[in-house]
Amino acid sequence: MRVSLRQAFAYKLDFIFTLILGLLVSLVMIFVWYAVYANSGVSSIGGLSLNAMYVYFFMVNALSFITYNAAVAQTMQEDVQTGAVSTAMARPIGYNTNLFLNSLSVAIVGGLTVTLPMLLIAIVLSHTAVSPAALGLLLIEVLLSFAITTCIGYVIGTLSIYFVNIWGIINLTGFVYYFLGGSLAPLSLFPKWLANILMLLPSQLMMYTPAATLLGIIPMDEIIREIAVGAVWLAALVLFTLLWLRRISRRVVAVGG
Amino acid sequence: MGLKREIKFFITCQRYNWLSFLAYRMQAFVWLSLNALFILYGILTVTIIYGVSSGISGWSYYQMLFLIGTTGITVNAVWYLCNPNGLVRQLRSGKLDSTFLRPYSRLNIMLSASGNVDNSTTAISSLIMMAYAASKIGVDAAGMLLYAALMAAGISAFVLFVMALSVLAYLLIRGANFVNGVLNFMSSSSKYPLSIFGFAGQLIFTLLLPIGIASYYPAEFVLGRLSLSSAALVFVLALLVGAASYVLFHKFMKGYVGGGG
Repeated sequence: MRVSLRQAFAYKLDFIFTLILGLLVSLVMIFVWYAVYANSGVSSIGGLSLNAMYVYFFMVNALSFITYNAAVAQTMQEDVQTGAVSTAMARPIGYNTNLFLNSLSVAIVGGLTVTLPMLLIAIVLSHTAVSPAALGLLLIEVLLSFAITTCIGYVIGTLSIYFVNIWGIINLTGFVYYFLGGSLAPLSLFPKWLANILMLLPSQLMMYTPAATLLGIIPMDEIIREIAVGAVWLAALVLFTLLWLRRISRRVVAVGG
Repeated sequence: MGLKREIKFFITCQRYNWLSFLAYRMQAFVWLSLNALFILYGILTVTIIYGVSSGISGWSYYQMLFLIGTTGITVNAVWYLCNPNGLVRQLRSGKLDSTFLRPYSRLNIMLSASGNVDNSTTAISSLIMMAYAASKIGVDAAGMLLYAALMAAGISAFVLFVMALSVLAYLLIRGANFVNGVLNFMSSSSKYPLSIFGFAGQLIFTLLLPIGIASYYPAEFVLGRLSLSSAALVFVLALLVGAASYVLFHKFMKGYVGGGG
């Protein structure tokens, strides 16, 4: 955790400016939707008021820092490329555990420095009433999403054993997550058939469902159903990841230098 | 003669960049395919917006696609030529110091060393989408030629602006992650009509962060929203921004005293 904090703040001003720009990207979508609402002359689109739309884009941006774990695959790739995987595997703490703890600390740092302040700003400025139940559900959704993307990160990371450089695959995964997770627009605005499919995928837990939970724009039974969908995905992915890691660990031949 | 040599050096470096990139074929294939798909972000966003509302005032669906395509070409041409964060990392570690001793201009050396070749597919997919939208709108060939000239001037100015900003970022804060962020921010903003950001926003994206002169105004011109005289002004503005950025780049580079350890 201390290492992650130090890495994040190594170039402090660069870090701060990057954060501010992250906020500005949310502002772009806010301007766009303001223009859309103004031109359409309606107070609500797809059940979302303009105010809710503002908050949605702020939340989506904030949540992406903690719900998507790319650190596992990135670290595995670096370890394979540099040969550090051999020394890392020889340490008393298991390699996979070490990877998980490392990525968890990255997420916690992201959560404390970006997500929490941005969520608070969004909630306070929009006067959104957030119930303790919504906060509890949000926490479950965030943890589920983090766990799911961690499992996928392990599987993607092991591909570096075959392909050495997997930046493209890591980014492809991120692209799919952002694309399907609700970063473009709330999933409820998608065509009904597409929204129904997307709600069955784990990506909905990354942005749309947590933001919608906080905003209170989807009913409780739907939230519970989406959490259940996520839990089923997680169980299947944990099983698959464990089997995959056991199989793949036999293929590790470390070189590097 | 000097220009010919500079161009030859640039092309040789491009060849080297492509060969390095293709060294890992699988990841190269994934990168190129993925980058070609990035245009889908813009298409889907606009499709959703126009599916659930009457869209943005004065802009039809295909005009929006045309603007997104234009911005995609501009931004990815810039990314192809320079990656600010990568450039600053190279300056920080002193990787370019020995290359600076070669008899080529520093600007050329830095442009040749820092770009992302994989952004080429995003530029190509943006070009295809722009052409598709143009065919739907019914744009005349002469207009497209002037549009291309405006874009070329705008992109050149914009590349020089990004290079100057990257060196400034290196001198002031030793990092340029935020310059990449600025580029992403401009890329996100200029996919939409600058008029939605109000007069102040339009001014910022024209003079302070000059993405407008490289994508928005050329698109406006070809869509018949900008007169020929205004387009000429944009062209002159692009030349001025380019010249000022070029001077600033060299001024900032005087502050570079070698990196690494």
